[in-house]
Amino acid sequence: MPKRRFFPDRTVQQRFRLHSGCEVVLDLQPGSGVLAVAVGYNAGARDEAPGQEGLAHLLEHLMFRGSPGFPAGEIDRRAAELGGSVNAFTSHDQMILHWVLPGGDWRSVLAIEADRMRALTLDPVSVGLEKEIVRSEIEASREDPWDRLEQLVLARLWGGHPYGRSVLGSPGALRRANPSALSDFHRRHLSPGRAVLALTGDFDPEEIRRSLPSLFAPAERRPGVRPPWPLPRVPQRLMRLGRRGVEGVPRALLALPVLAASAAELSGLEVLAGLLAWGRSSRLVERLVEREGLASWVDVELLEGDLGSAFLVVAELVEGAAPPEWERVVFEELGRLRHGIFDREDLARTRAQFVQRLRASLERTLDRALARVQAALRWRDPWIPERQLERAAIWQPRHLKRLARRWLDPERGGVLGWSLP
Amino acid sequence: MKRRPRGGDRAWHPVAVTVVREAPRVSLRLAFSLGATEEPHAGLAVLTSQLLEEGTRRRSGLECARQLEGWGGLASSWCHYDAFGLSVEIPLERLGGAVDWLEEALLEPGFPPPALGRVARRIDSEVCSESAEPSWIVRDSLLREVFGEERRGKPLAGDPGDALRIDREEVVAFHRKACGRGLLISMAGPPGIERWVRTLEQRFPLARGPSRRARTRLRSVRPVRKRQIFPLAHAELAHLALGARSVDLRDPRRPALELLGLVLGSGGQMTGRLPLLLRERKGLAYAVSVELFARAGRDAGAALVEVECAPSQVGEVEKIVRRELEALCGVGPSLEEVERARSTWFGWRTLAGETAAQRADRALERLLLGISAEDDEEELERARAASARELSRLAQRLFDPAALRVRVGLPAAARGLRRRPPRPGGRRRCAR
Repeated sequence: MPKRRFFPDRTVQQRFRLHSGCEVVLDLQPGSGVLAVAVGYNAGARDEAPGQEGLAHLLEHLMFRGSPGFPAGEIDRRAAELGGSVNAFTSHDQMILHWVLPGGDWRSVLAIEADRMRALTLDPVSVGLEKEIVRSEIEASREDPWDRLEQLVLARLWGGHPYGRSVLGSPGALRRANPSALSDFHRRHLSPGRAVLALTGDFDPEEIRRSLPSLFAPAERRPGVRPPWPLPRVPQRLMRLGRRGVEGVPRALLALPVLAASAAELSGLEVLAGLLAWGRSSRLVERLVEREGLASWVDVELLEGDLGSAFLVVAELVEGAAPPEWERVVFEELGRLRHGIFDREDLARTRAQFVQRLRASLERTLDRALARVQAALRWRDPWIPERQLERAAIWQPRHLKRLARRWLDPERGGVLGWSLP
Repeated sequence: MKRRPRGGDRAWHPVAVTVVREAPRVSLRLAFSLGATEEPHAGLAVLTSQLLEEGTRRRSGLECARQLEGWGGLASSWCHYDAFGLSVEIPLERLGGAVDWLEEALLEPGFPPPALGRVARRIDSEVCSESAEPSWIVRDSLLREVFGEERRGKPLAGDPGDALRIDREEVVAFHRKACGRGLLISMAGPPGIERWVRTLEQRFPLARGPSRRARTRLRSVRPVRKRQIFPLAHAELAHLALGARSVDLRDPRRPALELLGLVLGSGGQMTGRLPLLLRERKGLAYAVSVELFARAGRDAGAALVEVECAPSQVGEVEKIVRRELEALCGVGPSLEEVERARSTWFGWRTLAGETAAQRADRALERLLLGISAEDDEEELERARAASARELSRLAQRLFDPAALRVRVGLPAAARGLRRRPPRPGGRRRCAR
């Protein structure tokens, strides 16, 4: 009979810092039979120097091309042999590498992460191959009408700020990338002091605590402070952009600059997004899709950034729908929020959705690891999702009205982009 | 929890229930065992499924949505080639309300005429949006060739304009036919859901055990246009797709074929032969995908290899793909490749059962395909026993060069190609 594993309550969630400066978050789900590991760096596309656009994303690809202890291909091979998968993504603010495995063989995963945190091989042949792959990724993104529209709108919204550039970079900058620039970026920005390691799922926390210091012992202690970057300058009025001759159906994207992701009020904006577009009975979906039949779908999302976020209203229109009609409905509904027109039932529904969405977002072991890492990097608090659950209950109509008046007025600044057939 | 039906039959009980200890909510799936393959007009199954959400004889769709969403629930309709139905995610304490709604929506739908026009326009718009994507155009052209006149050759929602031509009588008749087939029910969620089995059985007397329709055999279809090249108006990359007829999801060779897929590169693993060669070793492509059960269900699907690459390199890429497929048919995979694929297969099986929603979906698929708990065990055994030789034999069957179809879409600007791209259905343009 297998030995029963028992972890007292106090050990279910732990957080500590290693001597190297790397923060560790342990979140146990005993008996789940799954283990997820995520390593996040407070480094991304906004740390690139002028002319180096796309370097962070290229480096993320090269994190799989070999480090001193693990040759190229070894990481993917190991993930497949362990029956799991490994992947990574880069944003303007963060780079995150993540694993999910059935069972608790965390030793080789942590050894790999520690090794590639110290250094990468970055041989010229691998760099050349990966540049070709990223070039293909950039071209694929140019084929996607939504990617193109979003890039056009965000470039105008954030002006010359790195937030206005694509994380993928440009073919020109990509051609200039070389092993020495990549190595320099790795050394300067992917330091243990700017890293968070999260383990979620089924493992023995004491064993992990014992192994980590030797695995992640730094060759040199590197600074954990991120160089400052000025806040983006955003438009002070509504700007309209349009592209014609685009394939398919009309697409609309309204982007409004809002609070930085670290602001406590951001969850209030999320509630407002929910009022507008979570579910069929939300305001915009009900009017645009259900009643007036102008759009085949509509969504509102918060594109979070450490220095500023964007409140995005996106939609695909049905054949024959007039873009000005869509604009009228969206602007009216934003106006209702600014005037504080909230009915109690609407708010209760959105709160219920907020709570269920958050709970569901922590159900999968990998999603949980990603949530912990992102929260630790952004808010220095990995348990933010649980705190947001508590906060959902306190948002009152007057708070929401104040937020909407401050941030959700397109005439005070924003970009509306259309791509039309 | 899986319950045996009375009388010791090897089928599952009409309601498949799985308890997931930490699940935050209940996932409930109800399906009519009738899908797009049996619709008289393309798009009818998708339209009927979406209209289930548009209200009952007593309440409007919005009233129902408001109530469910107010409880923190989420409802959605879905449709496949073999079935359509409704899915609900709901906190356990509100399950009773969700069951009330499901009973009304599935058994007494209103199919209100204004909703029919609006939903048909929405579906049509989505079809238009999708059918303008370069990768979709190439894939669609290939699948039409692989499936010939079969319904699986057309996209689920049909071609542009199909949904707009359907009237209410057809929807009502299709729903009546679906009720005659009975309902399949699967539920997964936190402890306490077991208590609801009896209620579900009483409220849904149409509930049936798994269906046992005859399996389709692999057929060899003579290709009409084995290889076709056409221009893509809005493309930057070349899109290459190669494919052939595969097998159905009940086929006993499915585990071995899934291992073969992993050896080739399905599931996004960079250790598969094609991504390893094309992407990792040669840097020829960013997106390389392998799928051995595209559009498969009770009947055979398609085996597909899709690559997006620079237009100047598409010839080289096609040569490499063909060479690797031939090598798999000839020499077969190495023992190391098979063992790695096996580890991945077993691992992913565990990962695919983490959430209540995943468990409910899996149970429903098994009900739909008529796969019992015993069959499940057999499947594991087959995956353990599959050998390199068996995989090689399967590769010979799937990737017979004589039956392999190829489609190449090139950016129109790159080659100055003048031929027209294939237009889905060839009836109506989407763009205004």
